[in-house]
Amino acid sequence: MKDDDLDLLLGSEERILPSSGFVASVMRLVREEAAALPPISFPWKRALPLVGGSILALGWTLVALVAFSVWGLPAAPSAEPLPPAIISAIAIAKSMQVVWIVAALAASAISVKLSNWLAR
Amino acid sequence: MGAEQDQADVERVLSGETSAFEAIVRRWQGPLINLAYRFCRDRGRAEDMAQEAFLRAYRALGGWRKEAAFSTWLIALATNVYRSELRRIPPDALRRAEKIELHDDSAAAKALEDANRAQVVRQAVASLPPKYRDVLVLFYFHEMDVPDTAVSLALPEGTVKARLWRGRELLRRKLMQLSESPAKGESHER
Repeated sequence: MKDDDLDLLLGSEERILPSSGFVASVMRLVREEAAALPPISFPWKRALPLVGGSILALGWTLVALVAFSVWGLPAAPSAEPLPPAIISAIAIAKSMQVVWIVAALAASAISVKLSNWLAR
Repeated sequence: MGAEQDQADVERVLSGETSAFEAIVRRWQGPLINLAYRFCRDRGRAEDMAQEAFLRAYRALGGWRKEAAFSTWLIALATNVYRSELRRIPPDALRRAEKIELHDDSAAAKALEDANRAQVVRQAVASLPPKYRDVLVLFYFHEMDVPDTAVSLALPEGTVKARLWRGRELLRRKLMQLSESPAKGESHER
């Protein structure tokens, strides 16, 4: 089959007519779309101070980490030895990784509070 | 005149007059449904696809930058919608073409000789890999205009020409297979 034959066959396409209710059905959908509430935009004004604060905190943490890795931790001031009960409580907390659990719980609580506040 | 009407109607819609979109739908329903039909070969589905294209056009109306004609923008948007839709649910054109080849041998042979010939060719186009099918469909929809085809598909003209050439080659091979199918079919049935 030559190109001309293909052109003739594919160029002479039958035309189909839209059904009578087509325009009405499109316009019904368009009106529904127009009546729908616009999506809630992200509250940048409220979020901006928090985002800025987070960036500052992250920056400060990075600077502190670099400083500690270069110069080491500052020498601890000599202090009175802690009572044995507190020392054993700290040891238990260390063994149970309580610090990380508390940190995770705090992070979750903060993110929940923050989401609720932003959605208000 | 049509282009001016399109622009005026778009401006009315954008200023909040939703009913002005009806004039756009009336003016473009024929081309959009026919383009969809060329992709899917199913009247009902063509209307559904065109409906979705109009809805997307309504949502994206503010994004028409007026650098291109409204018709160019609308056809390109509709083409995009149709291609996505066909990727989601492919047309059953291939299945129909296979049916002719395997089960209706005499019909396939006759179809290439009589009035059904065009239909067989269209079904063969629909069964091509999408990148060749899309170029062929748009090329004939735009009355064999390569630049318009390129704009609708967001492709360089060179790519359109290359795919057009390759698509036609694949189409010829497919049609040759279909015309040879009676002999194959007889041996298949025995």
